[in-house]
Amino acid sequence: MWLYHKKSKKAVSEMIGYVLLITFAMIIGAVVYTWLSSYVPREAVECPDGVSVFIQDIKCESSGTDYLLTLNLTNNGRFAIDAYYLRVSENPEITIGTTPLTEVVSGNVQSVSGGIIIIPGQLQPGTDAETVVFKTEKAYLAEVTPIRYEVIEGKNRMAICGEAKVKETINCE
Amino acid sequence: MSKKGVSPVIATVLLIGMVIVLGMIIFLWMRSLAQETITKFEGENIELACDDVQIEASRVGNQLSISNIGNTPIYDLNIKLTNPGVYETKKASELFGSDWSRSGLNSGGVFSGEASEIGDAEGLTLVPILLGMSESGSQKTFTCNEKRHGKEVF
Repeated sequence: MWLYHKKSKKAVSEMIGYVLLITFAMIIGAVVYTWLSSYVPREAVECPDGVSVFIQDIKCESSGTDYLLTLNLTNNGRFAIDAYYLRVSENPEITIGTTPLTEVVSGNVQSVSGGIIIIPGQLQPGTDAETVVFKTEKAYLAEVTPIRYEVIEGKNRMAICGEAKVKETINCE
Repeated sequence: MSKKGVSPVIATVLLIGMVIVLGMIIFLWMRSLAQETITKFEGENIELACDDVQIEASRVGNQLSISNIGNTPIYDLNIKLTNPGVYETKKASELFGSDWSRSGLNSGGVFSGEASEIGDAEGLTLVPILLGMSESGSQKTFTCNEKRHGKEVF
């Protein structure tokens, strides 16, 4: 009996110990959740892989003081394309298109603000677009960036397919 | 030998209460230490949006042309101008002044501007600056990581 008393030590009751541990765990969990919840990626506006266009033919011809750029596009990807950006470079050393072409001389497309060229009824995979002629200054490079309209959370959002951009050097005569 | 003391039930309740209060204090203190979270696109951390930024750039003499070919609007750019042994960083809005739109470079947008510093620099690195919403509801800018998202222009 004397030995038993000498060995007994005071301590927190086991039940209280459990309660304290569980409470600490819940608090730490709440802190971590609050911090990490913003890192969960939301559904982003992005172009699906497999979008691809091909410049079948492009030519630039003089028309008095301006030039006429004739463009034939083909959809050689797996998804339909709703629109595209067409930009040219007016400096032979600049390697990206900086000037959007918005003046449509002929062709069944619609030019809207921001330099977007809308293809009525989409350009389906494996099909050629109708020939479109644009008015331009003398240009050295043409760049086509396809655009798709994606439905994200019930809203129609414009997705720019930068990865599927194509460029072609041109020679305006 | 009877000793007066607190009833075990009351002691348990008091302990749990004190732990919860202490936990709340620690939680609020840690939150104040941590950097305020800036979000974009409906609550997503803005650091994730930096991964989606795609830009192309071309430099000729003093002229710098930038194209935003991604789906993330860029509010501003940190332009790091490097020369042997020295570098300087300027924002595009400072370097190009009113030529740089106040709303920045929207997705699909193109910018072309001239500045003498562009021509003088041996190397250029473009680091996107995005605009997001802080926890307090105000708009705040966030500069993406240069090593991961910086675009070198040759």
